[in-house]
Amino acid sequence: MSTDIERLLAEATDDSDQPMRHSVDDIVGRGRRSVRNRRLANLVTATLSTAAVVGGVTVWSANRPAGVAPAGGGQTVAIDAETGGTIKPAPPVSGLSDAEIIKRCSDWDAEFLRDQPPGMPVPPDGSGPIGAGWTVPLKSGVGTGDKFTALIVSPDRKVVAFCGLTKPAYPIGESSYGRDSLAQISRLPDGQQTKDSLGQPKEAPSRTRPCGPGWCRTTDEVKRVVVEYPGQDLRSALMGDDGYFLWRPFSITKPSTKPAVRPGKPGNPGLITVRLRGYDDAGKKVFDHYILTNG
Amino acid sequence: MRRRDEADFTEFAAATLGRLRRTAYLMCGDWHRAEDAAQDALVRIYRRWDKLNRIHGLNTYAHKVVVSVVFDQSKRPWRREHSTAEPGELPRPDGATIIDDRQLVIAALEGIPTGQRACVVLRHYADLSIEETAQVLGITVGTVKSQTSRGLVHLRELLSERTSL
Repeated sequence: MSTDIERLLAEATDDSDQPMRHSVDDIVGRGRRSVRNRRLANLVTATLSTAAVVGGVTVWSANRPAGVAPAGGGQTVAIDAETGGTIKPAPPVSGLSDAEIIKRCSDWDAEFLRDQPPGMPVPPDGSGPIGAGWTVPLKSGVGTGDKFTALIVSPDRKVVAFCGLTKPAYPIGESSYGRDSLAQISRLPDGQQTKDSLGQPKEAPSRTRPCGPGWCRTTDEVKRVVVEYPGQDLRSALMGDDGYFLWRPFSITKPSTKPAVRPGKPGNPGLITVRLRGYDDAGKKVFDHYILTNG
Repeated sequence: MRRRDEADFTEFAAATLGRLRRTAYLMCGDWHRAEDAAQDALVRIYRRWDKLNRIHGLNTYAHKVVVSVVFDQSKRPWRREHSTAEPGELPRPDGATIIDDRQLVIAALEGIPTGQRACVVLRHYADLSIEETAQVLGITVGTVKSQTSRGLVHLRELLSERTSL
């Protein structure tokens, strides 16, 4: 019997002489600030990152020797036949090695697995923690800078992890980490959303979805994706292996367990509609996809 | 968070803060760290409150988060644990006062491996079932049984060298 141990443990935790230093209200206040700061940090990071990418691409483009194409699938500045606008090149590929990216993301993966809600098996998707054998089909970042966004795929090709970090050491810096089961991910144009009569994304009748937070997957025939952000220049998405592409590089937003693609509410000022167009080698449009997002 | 949700969270936090702090204290042996851990855990729960199933498993989840925070604390260089609580170093209970008994138990807990300590605390203090403990620690039911059993044996050995149960 362990009743004696239970009694001793109960006595050892007598906290009558250890008053609380903080109240529940303090905790609620910290919670509110935490949520608010995270939103603010996401906004600031996204803004700074966009500025860094645009600045980096501009400086690099200006200094590169003639005939050398920008990173990201050899895309150069082009004119969009549909809108007549200028399409900016894709963001650069991170110079960090795949092994380094997996190493930096592994602590966040461990935290993600530890924090699974009750009732979820650990690991929730059965593929184990990220590590040796996992591959990196896509990584975005400036040079070997600490800030990067990457997708990491399990050896059995059942799971894709999304990892966006700003600092090399866990748990410092902003992070965005999540895992998706590839069984639930379709490849555009499968799962494509068109616009409804109110201009809102209209969900296609599909049991799967083509996108995670900041990324999507398409078929191998698609060689170029054009991203239309409201109020921003047209931009090429960074394309990776196996049809993965990032339409929101340096995305430091907390991934949601809900599908990233969902119908929105007309007039909701917190949401924007992003349009993604995919083209094959011959310039033929393969998909025209609309995403409702919070930025 | 909606006002109704926040009221629910406040009620939950008020009901669990003390217990989470005491559980964390048994895990780390320091009241200040324990309170920090309980607070951090509740802030993490606040951030995910909208997504949590509040009918089933919330207590287990709260323990999972607080244990995770305690483990994270001990990983940080400025808070890394250096267990020196070898059996010979346990404090002797002068006059068998209650305070000495408490310190004796905490020192003995610090003397057993972290995994065994977590199993013993969750099973025999937090009243979690074997399955819930397995869920909290991310290990199998069989491992919980063996770790708890070893932890209890180890704890008794350490305690019996200085006092009789």
